[in-house]
Amino acid sequence: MSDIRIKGLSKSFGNYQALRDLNLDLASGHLLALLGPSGCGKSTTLQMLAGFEIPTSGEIWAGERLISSAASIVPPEKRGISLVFQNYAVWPHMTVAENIAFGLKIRRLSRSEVDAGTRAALDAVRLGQLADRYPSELSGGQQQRVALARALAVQPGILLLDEPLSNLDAALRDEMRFEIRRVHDELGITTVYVTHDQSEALVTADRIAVMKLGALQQFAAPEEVFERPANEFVASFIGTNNTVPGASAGRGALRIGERVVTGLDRSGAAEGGEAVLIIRPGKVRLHEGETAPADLANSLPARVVRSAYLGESRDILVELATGATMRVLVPPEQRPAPGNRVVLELPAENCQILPRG
Amino acid sequence: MSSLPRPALFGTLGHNLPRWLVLAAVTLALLLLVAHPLGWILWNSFHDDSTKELSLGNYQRMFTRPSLWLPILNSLILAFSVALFSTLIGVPLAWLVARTDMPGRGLVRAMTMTAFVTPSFIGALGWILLAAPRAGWLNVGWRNLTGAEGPLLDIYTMAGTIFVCSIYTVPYTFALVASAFDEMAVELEDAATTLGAGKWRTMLSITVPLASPAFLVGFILSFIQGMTLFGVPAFLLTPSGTRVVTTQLAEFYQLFPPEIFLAAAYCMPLLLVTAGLFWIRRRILGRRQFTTIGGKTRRTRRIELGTSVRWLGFAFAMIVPVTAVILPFAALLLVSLSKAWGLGPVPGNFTLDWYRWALLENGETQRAIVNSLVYGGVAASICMLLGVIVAYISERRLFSGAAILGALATTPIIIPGIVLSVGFFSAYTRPPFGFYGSAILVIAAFVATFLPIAYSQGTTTIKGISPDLERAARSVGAGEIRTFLSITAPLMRTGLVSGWLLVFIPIMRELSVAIFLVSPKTNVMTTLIYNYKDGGNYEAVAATSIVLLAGTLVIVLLARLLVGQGSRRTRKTSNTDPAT
Repeated sequence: MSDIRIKGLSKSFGNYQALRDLNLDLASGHLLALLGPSGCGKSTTLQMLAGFEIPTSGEIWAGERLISSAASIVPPEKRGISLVFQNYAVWPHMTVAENIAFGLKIRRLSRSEVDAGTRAALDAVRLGQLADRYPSELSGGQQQRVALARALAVQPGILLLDEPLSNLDAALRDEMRFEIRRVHDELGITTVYVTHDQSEALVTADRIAVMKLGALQQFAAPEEVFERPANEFVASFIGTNNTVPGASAGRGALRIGERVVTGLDRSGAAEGGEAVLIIRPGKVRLHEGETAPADLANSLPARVVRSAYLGESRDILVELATGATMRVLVPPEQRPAPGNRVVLELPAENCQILPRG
Repeated sequence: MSSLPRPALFGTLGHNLPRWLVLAAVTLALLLLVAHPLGWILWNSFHDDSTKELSLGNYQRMFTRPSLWLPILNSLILAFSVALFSTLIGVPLAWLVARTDMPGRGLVRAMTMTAFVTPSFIGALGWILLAAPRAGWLNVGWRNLTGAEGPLLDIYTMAGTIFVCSIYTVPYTFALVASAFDEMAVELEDAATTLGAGKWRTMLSITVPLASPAFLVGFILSFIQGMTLFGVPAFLLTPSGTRVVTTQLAEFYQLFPPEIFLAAAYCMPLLLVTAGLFWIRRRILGRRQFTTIGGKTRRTRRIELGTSVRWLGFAFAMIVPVTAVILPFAALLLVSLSKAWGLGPVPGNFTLDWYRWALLENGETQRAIVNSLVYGGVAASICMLLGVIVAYISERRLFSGAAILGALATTPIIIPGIVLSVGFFSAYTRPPFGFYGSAILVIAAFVATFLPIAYSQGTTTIKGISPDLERAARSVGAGEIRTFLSITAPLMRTGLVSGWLLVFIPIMRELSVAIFLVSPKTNVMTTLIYNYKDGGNYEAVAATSIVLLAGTLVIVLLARLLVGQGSRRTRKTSNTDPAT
C-alpha cells in the first residue's frame, strides 16, 4: 500500500504534447479515476505510472520511492504496480489458475504459497469454479475478472486499471463497476482507474481527476466534481449540464442576450468578460407563454425546437434569443409543442457561473 | 489512446545488458550473412582477375563482348517468356479453382502445389527423359507411331527451357492470385449484386479488378524466377551451347583459373533487375492492398460454368498437373526402376538396383541425404531464430533504428541464389575464414537465402500477439527475458513451427545457392543430382531424384499434419484482440 505523488509530470511524443505539468497527490488506499475524452492524456499518465513510458519531465513517487523521472525509472516488473488492461490481456495459452499463479511463481514462492495466493485471488473475484478453464472458454466479463485476479494475486502496492470495462456490454459493465469498488473496499489497494465514462468514475472513485488535452481540469471528490465543476469543460463532461455562454455583469451575474441571470459565480471573470451559465436540465422550470408569472426572477424567454417523450419526463430542446440551445426536463404532463414561445425559470441556487473552456 | 507504446529504455546498464547482448549478436549475424558477402561482390567486381588491380574492365568487357552480353539477353528473353506464360496460365487457373464450379478443384489445387514443392531442375530431368530428341520416350513413341525421322519435341532448346521453367513457375502466380480471390470479402461482391449487377458483371467489374494487383505481382515474381533459375537452363540450354546469366556465372567458376572477379561484376545486372522488380512490386502492393480487405464471411460465390465449359476448364487446369507432375514424375519413376533407360518400360527391364545403390551401397548419396537433412534442419532453426528475434525487435520497436535490422533481414529476397553463392564464396573461402569444404559455409548460405521468409513469418506471428500480453507479465513482476520466454515464445509456437517448415522445405530443394559452396564432403542431394547428371547415368540420377522428391513430399505431408494438430488448441485460444 502506498500513496502516489505526481509532480510536474509531462510527456511529449515528438511534437505532440500528450501530458503537461500534471500534479496529483493520492492518499494511500484511495481510488482515483482519471477521466477524460480520448487524447486527454489519461492513458499516457497510466503508462507512466506502470513504467512503460518515460516522463519527458516531472516525477512520480510511490510512497517514499521515486519510481519515474526523466533521468531514470524503475522498470515495470520492479515497481509492485499491477496493471489491468482494456483488452484483458489474459494469456490464452494458460488456464485461469496458471494466469493468476504466474506472478506468484516469479516471486519464487513455495508451491503451497502459490496455490494459496491463487485461491485467494480467485475467491476475491468469485471465479473459484473456473480455475482450470482456458480463457477462450470464458466470457468477456469472466476474462476481465481473471485479469483483475491476476493483478491482485501479487499483492501490489498500487493497482492500475486501464478502461477495464469498455469492452464489456452495458449490463455487465454496471455489474463490474460495483465489483471493482467492492474488491477495492475489501483489499484497500491504492488504485488508479482510467475511464472516459463519467458514471463509472462517479460510482467507483474516491477522487476524480478530469483531464482534457493533456492538462488537468479538476481534481476532487466525485460529489465536488459533479456539484461544483471547475469550468465549462468539466461541467459538460460530467453529467448533462446546460452551458449557456454570456458576459459577466458583475460578480454573481451573467448577461445572456438582454437578460441578466444570477447564480453562484466561480468564473473569476471581470465585468464584461466571457463566462458560461451552467444548469442541469432537470433544474430548469419551463413556463408556457401565458402561464408565466410576471415577476419571474432569473428567467429567459425561449422557443421550443423539439420535444421528446421519455416516459418519466419530457426532454425539451429550446432555443434562446441569443441562438444558444438548452435542454429542459419537464414533467410529462407539460406538452409544449415545437414552435411555442416559453419562459425558462432558472432557480439561482442551481445556477453556476463558470469560466469558459 | 493510440500513441504507439514504445517500451522504455531503462536507466541502468545492468538492466539493459541482456538487450544489448542480443542486439549485438543479431546485428553481427546479419552483417556477416548479408552485408559482408554483398560487399565482397561489389569490391571484387571492380578488380581484374589476372592483375588483381582496381579496374572497371569487368564492366567494360561485359557490354562489349558478345559472349558476355548475349547470356544477359537470353536471360531477359527467358524471364519475360516465363512471366508471360505463367501469368497466362496461372491467373485463369486460379480463377477456375477459386471462383468457379469446375470439377476437380481440390485435385488441381493439390497437384499445382505439388509442382510448387518440386525442384524445377528435377522436372527438367524428367523432361529430358521424355523429350530428349533421340532417346526421349515421347519422341521414340512418335517415331514408332508415325515412322517419322525427326523428333516430335526437342527439350534442349530455348522453347523447351521456357516451357519447363513456366510450368514450374505457374504455382507462384497461382498461389498469389488464388489467395487474392480466396480472401476477398464477399460483401464487396454482394454490394455490387444488390445494386443490380449480375454474377458475371460483378466478377468483371469488382472481383477481377480487386485481384489484379496480384496478377502484376505474380508476373513480376515469375520474371524474377525466370531470371534466376539455374538448374533448368544448366540442364537444357548448356548442352546446345546457349548460355543465360546464371549458367554463365557457373562457367566462370569452371574456367581455370576461375574468373571470380568477372563473375562478381556479372552478378550486377542480375541484382539490378531483381532489385528493380522487387521495388516495383512494393510500389504495387503499397498502393493497393488487396488481401487485407477484411470481411466477416469467407464464403465465396462461385460462377456456374455450364456442363461443357466446366470440363473444358478442367482440361485447361490439368495442363500444369500433367506436365509438371504426372509426366515427369512417371518418367523419373520408370527410369529409376529400369536397368537401362533406352530399353523402355518393359517387364524384363525392371530392377530395384538403383535404389539399393542409392540408399544402401553408395556412400555419396547416403552422405548427401544426411547432409540435406542436417543442414536443412540446422539452417532452418538458425534462420527462424534470427528471423523471429529481428522481427520482435522491429515490431516492438525495442530500439530506434530497429527498422534497419528488418531491412537487412529482408535484403536477401532480392539476391538471386546464385549471386549469394558467389558472395559467400568470395567472403568465406579466403582467410581469415577459409570455410571452403565445411558445413558452416553451406548452412550459413542457406540461412541467408531464406532469412526473408523467416523474418516475414516472424513478423506475422508477432503481429498476432498483443503487446499488452507482454506488458501484463511485466506488471506482475516478470523481466523482459522471462516475459519473452513464458509469454511471447509459447504464443508464437504454431507460427514458429510453420515458419520453420516454410524454410526447411525450400532448403531441401535449393540448388543454386549451394552450387559453388559444396565440396564432395558437403554435397547435398540437389548438388549431388546436379553433378551426377553430368556423368550421364540417368537411371542413378532418376533414382536419387525420386528419393529427394519422395522425401520432400513426405516431409510436407507430415508438416501439414503436425501444424494442423498443433494449431488446434492455440487457434481457439489465441484470439486476444490487439489493443484498440
